[in-house]
This record gives sequence, structure tokens and C-alpha cells, in this order.
Amino acid sequence: MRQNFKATTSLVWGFTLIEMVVYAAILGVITVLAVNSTLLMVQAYTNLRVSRDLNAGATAVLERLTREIRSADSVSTALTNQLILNTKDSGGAATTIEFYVTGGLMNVREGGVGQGSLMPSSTSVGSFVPQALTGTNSSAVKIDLTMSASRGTISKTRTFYTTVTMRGSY
Amino acid sequence: MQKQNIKQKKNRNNYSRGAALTIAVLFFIIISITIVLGSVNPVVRDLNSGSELIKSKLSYFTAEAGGEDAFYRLKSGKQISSPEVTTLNGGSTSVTVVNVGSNEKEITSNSTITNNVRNMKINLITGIGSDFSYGAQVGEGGLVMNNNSSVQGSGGAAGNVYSNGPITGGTSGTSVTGSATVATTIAEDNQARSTVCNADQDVARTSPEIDFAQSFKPGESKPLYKISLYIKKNGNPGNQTIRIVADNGSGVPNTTTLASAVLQGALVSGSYGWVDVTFSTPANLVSGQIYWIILDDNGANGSNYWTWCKDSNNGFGNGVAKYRASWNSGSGWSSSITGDLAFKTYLGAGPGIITDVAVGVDAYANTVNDSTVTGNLYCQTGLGNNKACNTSQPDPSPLNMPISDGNIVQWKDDAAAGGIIMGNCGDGGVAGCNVASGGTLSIGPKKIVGNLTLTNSRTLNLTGVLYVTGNVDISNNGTIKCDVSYGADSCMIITDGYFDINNNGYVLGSGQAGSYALVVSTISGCNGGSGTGCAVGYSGINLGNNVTSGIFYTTDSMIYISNNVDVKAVVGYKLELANNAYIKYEQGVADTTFSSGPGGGWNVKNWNEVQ
Repeated sequence: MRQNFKATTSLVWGFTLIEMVVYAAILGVITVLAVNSTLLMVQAYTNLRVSRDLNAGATAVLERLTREIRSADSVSTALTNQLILNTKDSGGAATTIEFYVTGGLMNVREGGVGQGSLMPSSTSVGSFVPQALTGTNSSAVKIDLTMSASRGTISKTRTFYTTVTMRGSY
Repeated sequence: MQKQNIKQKKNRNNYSRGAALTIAVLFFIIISITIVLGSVNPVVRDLNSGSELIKSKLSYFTAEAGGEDAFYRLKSGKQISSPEVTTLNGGSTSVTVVNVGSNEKEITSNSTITNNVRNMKINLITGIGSDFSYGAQVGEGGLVMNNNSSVQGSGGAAGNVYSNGPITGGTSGTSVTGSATVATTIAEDNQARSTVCNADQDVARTSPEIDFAQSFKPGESKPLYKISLYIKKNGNPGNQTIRIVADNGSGVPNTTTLASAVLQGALVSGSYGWVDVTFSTPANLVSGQIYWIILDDNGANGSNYWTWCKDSNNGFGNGVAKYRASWNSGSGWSSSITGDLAFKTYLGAGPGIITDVAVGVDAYANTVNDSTVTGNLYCQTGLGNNKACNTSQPDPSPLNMPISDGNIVQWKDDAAAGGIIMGNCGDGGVAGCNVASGGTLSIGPKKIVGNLTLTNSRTLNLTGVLYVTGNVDISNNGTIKCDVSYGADSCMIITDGYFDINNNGYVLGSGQAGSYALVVSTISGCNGGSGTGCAVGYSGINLGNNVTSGIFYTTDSMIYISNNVDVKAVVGYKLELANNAYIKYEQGVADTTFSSGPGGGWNVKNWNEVQ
């Protein structure tokens, strides 16, 4: 009998209702925290990618603009969203190079022939304002470039500035 | 047995406990690691591309630095090896200098910083090419040829003359073996005019408002060919005098007439119109100086007077209007009246005129008189010629001088960059610039603040451009010549004073064909007749001797060829050939390259990045 009792008592394993509620609650809290932090991290990652897209796009556009302006002779047209430079091709012949914004993309045209867009697909140009500056001995172009990048609901807009002297005018 | 079973079951329960949590933790750890790696990867890539961008920029500026270093070395005559390797910014640039022909160098700078290659190319040119296409090219001052003087060609060249001013021959024997062209040069000076007419100004109606004067500043240094006044008459005021005078320095006209002409009363009507007044002997105006147009009337007359239109608010910024009872005597000038009297000015030598010259080929001018032309005679009016005018051609246009003021300023700068000598040079010169009798001194690029005198077989060997602020006298076998290192290039000497060559003085090139010595005088106010501080004949450059390899150029004064002179080309504001003097033009002068010399004068032709 004693043995029976002992056996009975030692076999009664399990959870009380309160224990179950507490466990479920703890698990729930941990899950919510985990999912939340996962979502936050995904959001931060997307943010990072958008910033990266924006920087990469702006770098590509500004580097190309800088290089072309530096070797240009003079500015033919400097309007909002359009810059036409008088320059020389690699053979030394006079030609023009045009930067223009259409459909939110910065495009380039060499000697009147379209060369396509300079930008990653996730970015767009809000405004492109080139300004021709003329000094006594040299001339330059000042660029105001507003660009946006977006992925999902996350979107960023930044304005980039640069001023480049035209070496070809020397 | 049963006890053992129970124990086993208990143990199994112990092992299973916490498994769910472990799995959950593992699950979250894996997700976290994935996210962290996913985030780190683009950050690392961003860092890499940023660092590549920086290295590319470093490489670009290293290439720039290498190119600039080589340019500085060439410009300042310092040593340079090719290739010249410079280590900078954690990388290196290799600079090579290659000669492209005799007057151009190409600097290539190749920079590499960890596989980021950027290349720069700079092209340098050594001098300024000028085209002396005429045996004599003359500015607004014109060409005066005395008896038996001539402009000739040699070695197949024609010996043409192009003048922006009149060509006037002597009574006998003056000839041009090639073509003679005189441009018609009249252009309105847009800076010296006031054309607004919205108020009346009566002139010579009541005393003391009799003589009126309007001041102006010419935009260019040229003769004032004619003026135009916006004026009408009341009654019949007759003919009156228009005078051009300079300012006396106190803002009123002085009393010396520079030029005068008659305002014909018959040309002025009772309503406003532009009336031209042309000066037969024009005043030579200097850009930026103040001059006055004076309407000099005989006296006030209440019924016969002029009305000169003016603006009502002093809109013309470059002058004012004043009046006086008599322009050169009695009580002084009034203070400035309100308004500017309407006027226009026309600068230039006027219609081209050729007089008393035998022309070997064609003659082109508006007016040709008393001349003998072998070829075609293109003119609008002509008298006493051997043939009638062919009026099919328009008047020739003025020709710009082959050397600009900018070229001269640059050469002066190049000279000063080589050092400045304070004091006279040549005979009895200061230390470092003294030449013994019969001796030779190599000099240049240098600026000499003083005079240069070379007599008694002294020789100055130019190794660079020489700029003399005073006068240059060469005589008795004194010689100026280009150093042999000039090769086929030409050297130059520039003076702010006069240049006088007499009694077997010599001006020579380097000895190679195509090399000449260019002599430039920038003196002004020496145009014959009178003047102070001028060479023989009141000239800027006087050539009294054979100067076989010289090209002579004056910016504002006369070149006087006072003897039998064999020169390559002369270019001047005004040119006078004395009795029996001649100029012989050589074809090779047509395309001459001037160089400031091996010691300097390299200038950038282009500078850009290449692939």
C-alpha cells in the first residue's frame, strides 16, 4: 500500500493552469519582442539600403558630371533640368554633351546621341539646377542636385552640391 | 522492475524539459545572425566602394600634382628627367615629357594607387605664332612715302601693303611692287554718344548761353573722323565752327583746338535731325580721356539761333554739358547744365585714300588719286589715275595688327620673371649688364629698368625676351641677335621708349632660316612733325640702316625708314619712308613663331584627363 501510494504520488506530473498561463504569457512576450526586433532590423536594413542607393546614385551622377564639366570648353545651355556643354571628344573634335532629366532620371546625350540613364532604378532626380559662373580668367558650373531613393514605404531625399571649373576654357 | 521504469520515465521527463525554449532561442539566434550578416555585408561593400572612390580621387590628384610639378620645372627652366616618378598619397605618378614638334611639349602623368589609374595630359606651347602677311602693315596713321621710296618683294613675294589709314606718295617715283590696300575705317563709338532727346536747349539765343560744350570719353584710341549732332535751327544762324578740345584737367574745355570743322547752316533744318560734321584733319583721341565738342557761335541773336536737343535727366554717364559766352576768353564756363546734348562720335581714319603711288599689282581703296595702277583699280572715286575706277568691290575692311596688346603684356611679364636689372645696359652699363667695346653679353629673359645703348662692335645675344623700359640706341656695328638656341624661332626685344638704329647697327635672327628678331616699341606720341623723347624724325622706331633679319612693330607711333633699309617686315600705327628708302618683304615672314626663349614662356594649350 505504501509502495502503491508512493508510486501514485511520483507519477502525478503535469502543469497547473496557472503554470500554463504564466508560461504562455512569457512565451508570448518573448515572441512579440523577437518579432518586433526582427521587424525593426528589417526596417533598419531597408533604411540602410535606401541610403546606400541614394549615395551610390549621387556619386555616379556627380562623378560623371564633374569629369565632363572639367574637360568642357564652355556652357552652351544651363537651365533647370538641362545642361549642355561644349566640349571635345577623345579625337579632339568639337562636340556637345548634354545632361537632362526626364521621367525623374538623369540622362546623358553625347553629340546629340542618347546614351541612357546614369542612375540606379531605385533612385530619381527631384531637381537638377546647373548654373554657369564666369570669372575674369575662368568659368565654372555650380550644380544643385536633389535626389530621392525609395524601397517599399521608406523614401529619402537629399540635396547634393558641387562646383567644377571648366579646364577646356583655359 | 516497476521502480526502475518509473525512474527511467522521470529521467526522460527531465531531458525533455526546456526543449521548446532552446529551439526558440536557436531559432532567434539564427534569424539574428542572418540579419546581422545581411546588414554587415552592404556596410562592408559601402566601405569598400567609399574607399575605392577616395583612392580614385587620390590617384587623380596625384596625377595632377605630377603634371603641375613638370609644368613648373619646364616653366622655370629647372631640371626634369623623363620619366619623373613622384611618390605621393600612398601611390606614385610617373610623368613623361615628350616634344611634339619644336614649339610644343606634351606632359603625361600616369598615377596608380592600388589599381586606381588616373592619367592627366598637359600640352604646352612655347610661343605665339604671328602672321606677318604684308611687307608693310600700317594702322590708322597711314603710310607716307617720300620721293623715290618703295615697298618691294623679294624671293617671289609680292611686297604688298595693307593700311588702315591713307597711303600718300611723294611727287615722283613712289612705288609699291605688290598690291596696295587701304581700308575704310569708320565706326560709331557706342560709348561716346547720347541719343536721348526729350528737352530743348537753345544755343546762341541769349548771352551768355552762346558757346555750348558737351564732354565725352572715347572707347578706343583712334582718330575722331566725324561727329553727328541732333540739332535744328531757328531763323538763319549761318555757318558756325565745331571744335574738338581736350579737358583742361578741371572738368572744363581747354583752349587748344585739336580739330575743327564747319557746321553748315544749310544742312540743318527747322526740325530736329542728325547733322554730320567731318574733320579733314582728325584729332587723335586716347581711350578713356575726356574731350569736349564745342559749338563755337559768333554771338547771341534772338531770332537766328540753334536748338540742340538734350535729355532731361543727365542720362549719359560719360560726360556733361556746359556753356560760356566765348569758348576761349572772357568769363569762365558755367557749371554743368541739366541734361546731355545729343551727339554721336565716329572713330577711324575715314574712307581709304591712295594718292601719288605707282602700284605694281592691284589697288583697293575708297578713293584713289594721281596713281598709276598696273593691275585692277578698285575704287569708288578716282581722279588723275591711268585708268577708271572699277566700282565692283566694296571698300576694304580694317585689318587687325598681327600682335595683340595681350601678347606684348605677356612677353613683358615673361621678361620680368627672368629678373630685373636696375640701370642702363650696354655701353657703360651697370654691373651684370655692361658690355665691353667689341665684347658680347648673353642676356634674357630680363627686364631692364633703364636705357640700352650698343656702339663700337658691342653685341647683345638674346637668350630670352628682353624688356627695356627706356630707349634703345644701336649704332657703329652694335648688334642685337637671337641666341642660336632659338633655332627657327624668333626672339624679341620690347621697349617702352624709342628704338633707333643707325650707322651699321644690326638686328639679327639666330642664323637659321625663319628666325628673326622682333623689335617692339610701345611709345606713344611720336608720329612725325613734333614730339618729345622720340627717335629721329619724331618716330617711335627709326631705321637708318640695313637690318636684314628684323621685324619692326610700333603700337601707337610712327616707324621712320630714313635710309636704304632692307627689312623683313614693318608693322606700325604709322609708317614713313624717307627719300629713296625701301622695304624688302620676304615670304617666310608670313608665318613666324615668337618665343620668349628656352628659359621661359611655356604656356598651357590644354590640360585634361585622359584614358
